[in-house]
Amino acid sequence: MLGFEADNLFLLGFWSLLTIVGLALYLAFQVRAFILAPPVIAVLGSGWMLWGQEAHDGPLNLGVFFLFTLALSHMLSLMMLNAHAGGVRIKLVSVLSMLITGWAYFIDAPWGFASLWLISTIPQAFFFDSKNKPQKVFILHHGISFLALVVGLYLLMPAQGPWGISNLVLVADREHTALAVGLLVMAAFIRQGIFPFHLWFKASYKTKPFPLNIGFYVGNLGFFLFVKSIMPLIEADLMHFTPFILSWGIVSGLYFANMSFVQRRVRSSVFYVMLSQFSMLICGLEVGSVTGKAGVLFQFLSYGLSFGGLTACLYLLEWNLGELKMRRFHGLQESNPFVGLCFLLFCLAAVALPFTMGFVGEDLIFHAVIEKYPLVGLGLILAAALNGLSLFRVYSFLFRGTRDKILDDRITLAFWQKAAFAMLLILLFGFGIYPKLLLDHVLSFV
Amino acid sequence: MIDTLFAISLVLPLLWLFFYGLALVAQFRVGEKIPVVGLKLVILVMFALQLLMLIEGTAHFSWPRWVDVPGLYEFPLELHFNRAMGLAGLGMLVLLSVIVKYSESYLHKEKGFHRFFYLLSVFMTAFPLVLFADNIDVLFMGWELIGITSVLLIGFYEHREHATVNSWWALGTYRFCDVGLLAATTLAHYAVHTTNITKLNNPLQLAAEHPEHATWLAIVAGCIVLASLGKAAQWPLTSWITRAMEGPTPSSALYYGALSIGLGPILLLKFRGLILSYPLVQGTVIAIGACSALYSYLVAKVRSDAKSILALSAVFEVSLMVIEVGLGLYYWVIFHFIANAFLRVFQFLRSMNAIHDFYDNPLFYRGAPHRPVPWIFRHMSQDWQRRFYYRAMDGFGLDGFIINGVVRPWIAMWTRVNLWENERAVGEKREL
Amino acid sequence: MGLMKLLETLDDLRRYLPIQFPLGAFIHNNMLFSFEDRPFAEGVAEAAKLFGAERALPESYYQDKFARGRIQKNWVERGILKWLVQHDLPHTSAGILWRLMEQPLNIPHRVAEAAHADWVARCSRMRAPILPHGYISGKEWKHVFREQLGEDVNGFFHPLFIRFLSSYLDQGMSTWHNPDTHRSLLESFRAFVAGHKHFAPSWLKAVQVQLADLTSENVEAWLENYLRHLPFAVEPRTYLLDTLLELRGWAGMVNKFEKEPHLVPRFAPSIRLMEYLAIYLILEKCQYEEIVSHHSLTDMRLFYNPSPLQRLDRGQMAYILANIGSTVNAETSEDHELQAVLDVVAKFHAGERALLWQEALDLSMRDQCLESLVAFRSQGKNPVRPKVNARFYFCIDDREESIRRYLEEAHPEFETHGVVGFFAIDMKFKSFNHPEPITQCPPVVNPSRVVEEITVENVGKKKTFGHMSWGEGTWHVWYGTRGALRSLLFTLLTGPVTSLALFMRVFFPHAATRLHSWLKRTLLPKTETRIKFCADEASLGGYTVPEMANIVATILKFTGTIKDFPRLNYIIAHGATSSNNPYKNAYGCGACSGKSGIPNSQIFCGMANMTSVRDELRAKHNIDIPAESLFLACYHDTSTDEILFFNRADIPVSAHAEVNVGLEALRQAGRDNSLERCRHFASARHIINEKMTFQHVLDRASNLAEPRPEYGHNNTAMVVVGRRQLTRGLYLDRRCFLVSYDASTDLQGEVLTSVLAGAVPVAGGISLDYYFSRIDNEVYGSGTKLPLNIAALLGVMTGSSSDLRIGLAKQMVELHEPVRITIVVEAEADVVLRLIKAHPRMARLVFNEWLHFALIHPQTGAMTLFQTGEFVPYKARSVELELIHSSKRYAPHRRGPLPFVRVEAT
Repeated sequence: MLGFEADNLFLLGFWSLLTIVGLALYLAFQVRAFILAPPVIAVLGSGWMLWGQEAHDGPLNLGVFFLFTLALSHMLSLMMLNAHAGGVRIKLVSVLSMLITGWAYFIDAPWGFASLWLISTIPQAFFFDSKNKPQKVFILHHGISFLALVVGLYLLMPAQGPWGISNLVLVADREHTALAVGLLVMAAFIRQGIFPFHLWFKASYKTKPFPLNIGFYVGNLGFFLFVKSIMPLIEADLMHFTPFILSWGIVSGLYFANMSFVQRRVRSSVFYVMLSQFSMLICGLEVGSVTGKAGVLFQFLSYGLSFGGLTACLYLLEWNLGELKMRRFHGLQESNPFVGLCFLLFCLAAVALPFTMGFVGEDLIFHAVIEKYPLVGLGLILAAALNGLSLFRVYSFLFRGTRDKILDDRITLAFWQKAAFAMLLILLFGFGIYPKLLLDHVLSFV
Repeated sequence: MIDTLFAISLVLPLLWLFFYGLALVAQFRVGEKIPVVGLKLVILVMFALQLLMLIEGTAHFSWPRWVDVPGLYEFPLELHFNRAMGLAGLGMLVLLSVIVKYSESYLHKEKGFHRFFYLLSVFMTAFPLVLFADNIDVLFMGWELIGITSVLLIGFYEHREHATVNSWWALGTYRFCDVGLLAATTLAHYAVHTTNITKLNNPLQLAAEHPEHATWLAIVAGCIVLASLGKAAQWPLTSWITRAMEGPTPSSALYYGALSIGLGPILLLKFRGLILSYPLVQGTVIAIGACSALYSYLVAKVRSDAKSILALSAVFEVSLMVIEVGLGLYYWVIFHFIANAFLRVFQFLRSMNAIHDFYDNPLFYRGAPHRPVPWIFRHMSQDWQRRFYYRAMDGFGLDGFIINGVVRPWIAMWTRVNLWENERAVGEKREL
Repeated sequence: MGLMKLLETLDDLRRYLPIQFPLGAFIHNNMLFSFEDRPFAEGVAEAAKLFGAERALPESYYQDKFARGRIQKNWVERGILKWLVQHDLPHTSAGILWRLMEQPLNIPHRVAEAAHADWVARCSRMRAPILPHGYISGKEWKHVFREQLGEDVNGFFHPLFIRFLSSYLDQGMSTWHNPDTHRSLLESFRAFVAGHKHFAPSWLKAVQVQLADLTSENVEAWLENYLRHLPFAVEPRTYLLDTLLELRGWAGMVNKFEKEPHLVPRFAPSIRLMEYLAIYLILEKCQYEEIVSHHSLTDMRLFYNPSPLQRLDRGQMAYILANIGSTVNAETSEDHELQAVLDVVAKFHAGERALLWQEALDLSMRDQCLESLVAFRSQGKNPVRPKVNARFYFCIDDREESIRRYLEEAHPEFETHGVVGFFAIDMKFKSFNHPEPITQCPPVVNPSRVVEEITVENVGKKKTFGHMSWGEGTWHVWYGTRGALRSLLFTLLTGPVTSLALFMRVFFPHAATRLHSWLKRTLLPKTETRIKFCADEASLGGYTVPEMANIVATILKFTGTIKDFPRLNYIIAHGATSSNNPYKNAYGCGACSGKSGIPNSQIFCGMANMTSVRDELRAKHNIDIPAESLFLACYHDTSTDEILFFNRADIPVSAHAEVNVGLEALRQAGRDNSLERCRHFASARHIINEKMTFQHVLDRASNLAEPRPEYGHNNTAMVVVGRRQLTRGLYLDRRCFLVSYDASTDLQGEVLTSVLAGAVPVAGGISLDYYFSRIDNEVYGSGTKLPLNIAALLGVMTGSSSDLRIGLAKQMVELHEPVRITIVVEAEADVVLRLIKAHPRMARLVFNEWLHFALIHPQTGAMTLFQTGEFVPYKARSVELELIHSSKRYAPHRRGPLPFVRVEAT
């Protein structure tokens, strides 16, 4: 029915029912456990499917890994929310966007997938309180990406036989199949925010309450579509496209790395570094080798965690102190030493500190890319170096320098927030010291 | 048996890092005694183990499939102990024990006491990784950890913005040179499908096995040389070393007097075979060593504060070591490295007494004659001497080149792009 | 602003610059020397605004002191009432203020209104009180550039300017000396800027253009023109002052080079503060124009909106009311009550509370001093003491109080006195192996002659050659190993040796020092020397017999010991040893300009033992010193507690036994003293027996790694000018300067003039230096010692380049309780008042209450305190002084400052 496999349908149905009930109970009783239960169960469920079964019939559905990452980062962002903070809107938007994206991972019917692709952007669109330019830019971009997706899928519809997201095939008799793949790639790139199409992302973080539910971005469908359907298509017989897409990824990575250096606001600098790192994942995919794919999925989880931690720290600081600009040194180390230490560790983990996940993932991607294209690959290394510089600059502006002690800037972390920080650190350093734990299971998807 | 000892000597500091870090992150009440006693114990055990290994001669440790994609890619943790590097390791341990004993009373009741000792522990863990690494990836891990601890120690005083800005200089230089080391790793893997240092050290045999990629090995050698420039503050990248004197004296002594600055020649020493087999690369190494020796010699003459004179004379010694590596010496460089390390650390630690050393000297009285002009400029005319003096004060335009030639135009260009983008995305004229 | 007016203002502004000498000649002095003409609280407030400094330590420090009983509750209550009166608030809110003092309520930036829903409703009807905001010192436009544009103006040109200034003023640190020191600052700076030829920043080219038409003659005209066309609406005088204070360390040093070149150790270039100002303003002007053009700012007023006064928002108000405690609750209390609470809490912020705590601590300490003296006079029974058979003359230093106490406890028959440490010998002393005569008298006293140390057999050049070659050798190594081609040779030769030396100096410090001095003794030729202080022998200076008699008489009259001389009189000078310490002079004897007092005590004993001088004394000053009584020159090292004895040769053999008894008593007192000192050292707290603490103290002084060789004048709080009976037997915890003075032998008060002139400014200077360096160690002190970097042999910078750091380092003052010193004089009120009015500095200090001044009537013992212009009888509370067996058992295992107690034995 609608292209879902049997057991996935059961998991999804149970999960979404639980989410709706949990949300209702939370709105009634304001007890955070209710809203936390669904993502925890989703994490445990997909984690069990990832790690639990040894002899598994055939390769797992890619959606399980993406659901695991999405649910994990969503759980962390919900744990980070301040007890009395924000109205109902943030929680509603983040829970709904998580649900829709989760369903989109497992659906196989192209029309179903396209409609979910559009619906999942609607909650985010509501975030723009003022009807000025940012919202127009956002809607324009996602409208184009939806159209591109629909036309691309339509062009690839075979006369007869199976037509699903996971087994798209280049139909021999249709003439402009290359155009179809191009449209799909463009749709995916707009959704993920690659170089020329990233303006909607810049507009989106102007939203008034801090866009903590970056889950929308982490669980990005564009990347999922790329891994699931576009890569098999390209590997079929369009390999001559790969150098262009690869260099496009590297150029985008370099562009964002440089842009993050000249930003005046702390948020925009961190988001540009995130854009740069994610667009470098595209290059890892393009190479087409197993190492590249494994490295990309490994690094996808690593970036999800480390940038989740960074945005969480920013949320805590900006909620308390208001908009933080990199005009002068804020000197928060004295009043919030623990948050400072965590922010530094997340910065270093995001730019491949040895003994963390990032190092292993980045090593895999660099080797895979330079295996095929040595000269172009060096641009990747340069972008990673610039990102390191930019993130340390952000850390210095936030936590170095002096601050007049008229008001009290100490942030008292609740139990949930401390637990979230501890879990992030354990995962980042745990997988960093013993990476085989995750790597073998990632290989089962490739 | 010796291999297990070698494994213990590598894992022991990691365990110390884990437990000490756990205690700090969980904010237990850790007094000032625990880190000092703990570090001393770990250093003592490592010293004993490395002494045993030195007698034995060689030892090996490898964790073959630390990260592997079956059949396609393998990242083994391989470390190999040999006598030369063992000597350098022992020198490091003795120096570290002196610095820990020195810092025990020197940093008493200092705000960042635990942060200082934790960064020292990370240095103690990372230095053997660089010394005994047998593949470039493990070397890169140790190399980057030392870079990060060095930057965090420069910006040790968090309330001083000047120290933070100076730590960006060091971080920028390190990241720029880490690009070289990372490129060497990936290119070596691309060209000859191995990053093992002992294999890379006889490139002729590798070139025979992979004739089509033989030229890439020369580029790998070039990348290694680029990587060694940053840490050793060689000529084009010397301007960060005088700005690195912001941290406490013991850490400046350990890093920029002795060990962190000595990593450049140590790295070249580890790739001796690869570098010496390409005359062009060997020539550049000698040329760079000579250039930075002359540069640091002249700039050290005109500086008038204690620590930057010491830092630049340490750079002078290191550039002599680089020349020695270029000329093909091996054990001599290790001896020079250890001798320079001890002398500079002693001078750094005593640098606070400079005023009273001069006052107690009978030659220091009102109207006493100044030192003669350096012998290079003695025959020059008064006007030329004066012009050279002020050019040396400016550092012969090197700092100016980096700030006004590279960094500032690059930032100005990208600011314009950012403004253009803001108008498109958000419709705001001002900077966003 | 006419030319003459500019010169006037500049001379007037010089007094705001720090008065610190080059570190080699460091002297304690009041950091706010130029604010002493105003009352204390007012002066401190104005200085805090000018320098951007704190006026009190953080609250947590005082709460801990209050918990330990160091602050009396009644002073806090009186402070609260005074504060309420000042801010004309009703007395009813005293309870709230007291609650805030005990549990400080810091207002957070943002409070979730949902957390205090009940209060938020009430608060919406309140008038939101104004948020307290800190005062920004320095130039407004630089602060605006920093906040609005993120441009750190000083950060651009300070490193460049500091590097130039440091090389111009360098005394010998750099191997290649600045060739332009004989030229003017402007010419040298012009060549320096010309040196930046390649890749120079664009604004430096504009500086070159500005400098072209500037010469040292027309500097004043240029400055005057510049100040007339300032682009910002600011008064020229304040702008000049702010310019000087931005790099006040370097500006102060330039001022010293111009006004007092004799203090410069080696070579003072002809430098003028006017040229310094011109260069600084040119650099700043070009920087300003560069930023304005870069950001295309048409008009400064676009940015010039000083931030509007912020008000507390509803969430913060609710937070305050919720956490203020039981006096207020949501339902019952009316609106005006809540409004009063909010206004009080907003006004009574952390800064105000800390200031109130500080005053209470200050007054509590004053009471502890005065009340203990009064109580000791009544409770302390004067035991009958055996006949005095030895007298010990110590320096008035507060660190000598404990060794005098131990000496008196062990030997009741000994008598100790406190005299000015230079023993009234106003000389410059030229030691044997150093060509430069060093001042051995206080800075206020002008040395009248040079006294030289010559070899006994008057051996010629050969003997001095040994010392000269040792100096040449050390310099050869110093410059050789720093950036010279010989450094390769030195590194390879000395490298292994230094590894051994380094290991020894860090792990076995005292053994290393003994080895070093043994090496110096054996290698260098042995030279017996003697000090030639008699004028008749040679031309070079020295004292005539009448002058010598005068000196000896002054000291004896000081202490009132002019009759029944015992057989032995010990003259004990003091000094300190510390290795690796740029502030070594701070620990030395203040009266000998920071040096050790050894030459002074040797010369004084030499004079006092001369028969011709004794005859002169008997004739002119009717002081009869019997033939067999001897004067013995000794030395006590306050860091290592070692005792040295010098003129054993002049003593007849018969007295040797008795002298050794006295010396052994002194050495035992030194060991007890080190036991008491070790209670403050964390690394020695567990050691209790004498021998180990003595070894620990020896190691500490010669340890390379010890930033705290001793703790100097920490916790200094009192000066007692009077007979020893006032304080003998009172445990004063090393916190009191003891100046011996007997009012009965000095009716007119001439001796009192020199005693007060010597003791009050010195003790006042030391205590105020420690006070301000402790209150704000970053502005008034030189921060922590760790990153300090010696610059140009004149001072220290923090890190690679910063302003020259002024004041004491953190490690030197961290134990100090910041209190104003209490001076107690045993003399008549009218005599003292007349003396104070005659001495300008003392008048400023006492009348403006920069120190507490009290008098004890010599006969009746009534205590009067100087308040608001005149002496008022002091109402002392009756305090029961605890009786302890002996100091040895009382002090060692206790921490922190202790109450004054009575010691039974003496």
